[in-house]
Amino acid sequence: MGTLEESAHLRRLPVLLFAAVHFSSSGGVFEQYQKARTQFVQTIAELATRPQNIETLQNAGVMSLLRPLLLDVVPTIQQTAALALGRLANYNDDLAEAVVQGDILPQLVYSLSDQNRFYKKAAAFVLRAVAKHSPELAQAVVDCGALEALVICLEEFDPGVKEAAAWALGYIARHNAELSQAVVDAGAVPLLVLCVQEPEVALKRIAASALSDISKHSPELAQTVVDAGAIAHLAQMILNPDAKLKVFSALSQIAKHSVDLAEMVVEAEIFPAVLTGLKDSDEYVKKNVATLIREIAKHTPELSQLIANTGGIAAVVDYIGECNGNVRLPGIMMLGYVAAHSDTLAMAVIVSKGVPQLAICLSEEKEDHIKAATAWALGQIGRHTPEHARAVTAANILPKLLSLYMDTESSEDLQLKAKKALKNILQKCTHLPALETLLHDAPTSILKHVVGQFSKVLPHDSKARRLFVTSGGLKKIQEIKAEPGSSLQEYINTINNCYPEEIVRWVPLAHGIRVSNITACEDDPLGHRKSRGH
Amino acid sequence: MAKGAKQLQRGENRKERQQPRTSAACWPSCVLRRDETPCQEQLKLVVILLRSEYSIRPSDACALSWCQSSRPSLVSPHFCQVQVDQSGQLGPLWAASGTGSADPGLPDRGMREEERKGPCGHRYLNRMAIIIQKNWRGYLGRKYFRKMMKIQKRWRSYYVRKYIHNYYAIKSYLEGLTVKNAIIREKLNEYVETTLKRQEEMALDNEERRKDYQAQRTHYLISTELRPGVFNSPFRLFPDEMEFRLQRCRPQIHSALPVCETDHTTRASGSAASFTSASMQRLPPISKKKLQGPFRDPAEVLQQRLKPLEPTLRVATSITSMEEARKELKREEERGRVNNKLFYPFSKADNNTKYEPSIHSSGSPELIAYGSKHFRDENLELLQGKKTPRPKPDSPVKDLGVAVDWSLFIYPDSGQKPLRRNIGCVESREVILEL
Repeated sequence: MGTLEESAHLRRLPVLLFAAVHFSSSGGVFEQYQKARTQFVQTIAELATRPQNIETLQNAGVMSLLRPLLLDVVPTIQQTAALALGRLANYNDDLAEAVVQGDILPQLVYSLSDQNRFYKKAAAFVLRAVAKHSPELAQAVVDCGALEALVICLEEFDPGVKEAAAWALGYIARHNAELSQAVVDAGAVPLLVLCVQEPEVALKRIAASALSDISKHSPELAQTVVDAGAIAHLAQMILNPDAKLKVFSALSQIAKHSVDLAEMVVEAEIFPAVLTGLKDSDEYVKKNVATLIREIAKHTPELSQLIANTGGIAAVVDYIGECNGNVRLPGIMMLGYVAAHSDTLAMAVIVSKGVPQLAICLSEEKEDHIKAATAWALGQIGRHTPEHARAVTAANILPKLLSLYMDTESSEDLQLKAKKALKNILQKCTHLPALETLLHDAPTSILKHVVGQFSKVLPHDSKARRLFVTSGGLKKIQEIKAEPGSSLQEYINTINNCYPEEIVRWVPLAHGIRVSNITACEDDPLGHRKSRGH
Repeated sequence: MAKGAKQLQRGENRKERQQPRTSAACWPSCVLRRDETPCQEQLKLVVILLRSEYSIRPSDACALSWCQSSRPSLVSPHFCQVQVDQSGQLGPLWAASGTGSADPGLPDRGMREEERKGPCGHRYLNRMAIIIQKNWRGYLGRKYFRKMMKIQKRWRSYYVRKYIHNYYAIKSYLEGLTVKNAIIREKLNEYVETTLKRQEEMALDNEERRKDYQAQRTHYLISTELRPGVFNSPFRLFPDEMEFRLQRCRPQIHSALPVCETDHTTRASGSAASFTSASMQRLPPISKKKLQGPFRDPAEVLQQRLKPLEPTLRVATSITSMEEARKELKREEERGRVNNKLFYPFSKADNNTKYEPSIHSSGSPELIAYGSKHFRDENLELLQGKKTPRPKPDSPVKDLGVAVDWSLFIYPDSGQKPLRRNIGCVESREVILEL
C-alpha cells in the first residue's frame, strides 16, 4: 500500500509539476475563480435590470453575496458588483434598507476616494439609489460621511462622475430642509454652480435639478444658492432645449420664497425670453414656466405690472387655452394673483381676453381643485369695480358659479370658493339682466346680495324698472319670503317703494302685463320716492 | 375777619338781587337787559366771560349773578348756577365766587361755607372760564374745520384724479397693453412656426441621410447594363427612387470600415488571460523526445514570447501628458480664482536712489573741459617757457597719414591758456600760427 501510494504520488508528481509549469498558460484555479466571480456579478447586474427578477434575487439572499465582492481584488468585479447593488437598491426600499443594514455604505464611501472613475460612478449610483426612497435612508447615507466624498467627486474631471455625484446630492437634498442644509454645509453649492457651466448637457440638467432640490425648502437655502451666482448661469440656459425643464423648476423654487429673491430672478432678464417656453412642445416645460411666472407675480403689484408690460398675461391666457387638466393650474392661479393686486391689473387681465378663457376652463374642467382655482380667479377679477363685474358677468359666469355652489357633489373647498367669488362679483354688479337670471334660482344667502343690488340700481333707472316688471322680476320679488327686519326685507321694501302700490299688489296675481299701464303709472311722482340712503 | 367778609358778601348779594349793579366796567350792564330771553343772556355772558383771558373779573361774576337773579329757579340758596346750552355740555357753573378752591363738581358735599357762599374766587372762575373757552373754541374750530375741509376736498379730488387714479392714463396704458399683447402673440406664433419648421426640416434631413446610408450599404442592388435591378422593374413606368439613390451615392471605401481581426493576430498580441480563456481549449502538448541541441524548454519560450506587455513609465505616458498636466494645473488654479487681475507689488517702495541720467544722453553736446582744455597731470609752471621739439616740415612724421601738427602742443609764451584741440583733427598751419 505504501508503495502504491508512493507510486501514485510519483505518478502524480509529473502531473503536478506539469500543472505548476503550465501555471499561467492553462486554466488555473485562480483564473477559474475569477472567471466565476465575474460571470456571477455580470449576470446579477443584468438580471437586476428587470423588476420581476429582483424578488427572486432578494429571496436568494443576493445582498450577502454581493457584499464581499465589493472588496474584490479585481476592479471590474468591484464595479460590476457596485452596479448590481445600485440597481437592486433602486428598485425597492426594502433592499435599500438591507444595503444600509449590511454596513455596505461605509465601505463604499471609503473606496470612493481612491478608486477609478468607473467605480466612483457605480458607488455614487448606489448612494443615490439608497437615498432616494425616504428621509431616514438619506440620513443614513449622510451619517456614513458620504457627503464629503460626493463633494470631492464633484471636483473630478470626468463628467460622468460629476453627474453621478450631483444626482446623488440632489436626491439627498430633496427630502427635507435639514438634509439640504447638510448638503450645503458640505460645500456642494459652488461646485454645482460650476457643473451647471459645463458643456455636457446631461451634467447641466442634473446640476440644475440638484440646485432646484436644494433651494426649494427655505429662503435661507435659496439665498445660499443665489449667493453662489446660480441665477445668471441658470438664466443663460433658458433656451437650451434639453435642460430647460429643470432650469425653470430651479428658478421657480428660488423665486417663490420672497420678494427679494423674485426680484433677483427677474433682474436676470428672463422676460420675455421665458415666454417662449410657454409655447414649448413638452407639457412639463410649459407647466414649469407657468409656475415660475406665477411665483414671480404672486409677490407684489410691481412685479405683476412688469410681467403685464412684457406681454406675459396674453401669453399665459394663450397657454391656458392650449392645455388641459392639471397643466393649466399654474396659469389660472397666475391670472388670479395678478388680478388680485389692483384694479388696473384686473382690467389688464380682462383686456387680454382672460375672462372668456377662464369661463371655458370653468365649464370644461372636471377636477374640483382646478374649478375652485378658476372660480377664485374670476372672483378676484370681478370684485374691483362695476366695470370689472360687468366684464365678468358678460361671459355668463354667474349661473355656472351658482351651479357649482349648489352642486352637492362639489368639494367643500369648491363650494366655498364659488360662494366667495359670487359674493364678491355680486357686490359690484350693476348689470341687471345678468342679475335677473340669478334671481330665479339662487338660495337665500346669494339672493340677499342679488336683491340688494337691485335695490341699489332700480330707484334711479326708470327703464330698468320697466324691464324689471316685464321680465317678471317684480313678481319673483313678491314671492320671496323674508324675515321681517332682515336686510332682505329692507331691500324688498326699497324695491317695492319704487313702484306704485297697484302694481305691487297686482303683479303677483296677473301674468301678462301691459306696458302702457306701466308707463301711465310711472308718470306718478316716483321721483320723490327715492330710497333712503342713496 | 371771615365773618365780616361773609357778611359783606351776603350784603352784596342781596343788593345785587334787588337791582342791576353798574360796575366800573359798564359794558356788562348795557349788555344785560331784563327782557331778554335767558339763552341770549347766557350767550352774552359766555361772550363776556370769554373776553377775559383767564380770570373773571368780579364785575363779570356779578353780572352773572344778576342774570341768575332774573331767573330765581336757577338759583339755589347757596350758589348760583349757570347752564349754558349754546355750545355743548357745560356742567354746573359756579358763578358764586368763593375764596377757596373747591371742586366744581361737588355742589353740596363737603364744601367749606365760604367757598359756597362766597363771592367770585379767581380759581373757580378760572376753571369755569377754561371750560367755557374749551367748548367755545371747539365749536369755532369745528366751524373752521368744515371750511378747511371744503378746500381740502377740492384739492384732494384734483390730486387723485391727476396723479393717483388718472383715468386717461389708465385708459392709454390699457390700449398700449392690447397692442403689446397682440405683438407678443404674433411673435410667439412665429416662434412656434419656426421651431416646427426646423423640426420638420431636421426630420426630413435625417430621413434623407438614412436612405442614403441604406443605398450605400445595398449598393449591389443597382441595375446593370444587362440586368435591371430590383428597384428598376420593367413593369413599372419609371424606376423607384431608390434606384436613383443607388446611382447617385458614393461607393463605400472599405478601409473606412472597421477591420475585423483574424484569429492569429489576436493570439499574438493577446494577454495571458485571453490566452487561457475557455474558448481556447488547448490540450497539453504531447511530450516528445527531448530534441537535440541547446533548446530551451518550450514552456519557458512560450512564457517569454507571450509575456504581457508591461510598458515602462516613459512609454505609458501619453505624448501630451505635459500639456494635460499643465491644463490640469491651470484648471486647478482657475477653479479657485476669483480675480483675474495680477497683483503688482509696490516696486518702488524701497527705491530711494535718485535717478542719474547717463552721460551720453544728458548735458550739453559741447565738450567738457577735461580732456580738451586741460589735463589732470599737467604742471603748467614747469612747462612754461619750455619748447617742445618742433618737427621739421620734411619730417617723416607726415607720412603717418594724419598730419599731426606738433605745434598743437606749443604753449604760447605770453602765458595765455593753452589752446587744446583734439589730436585727431587737422588744422592748417596758418590758423595755428595765429596763436
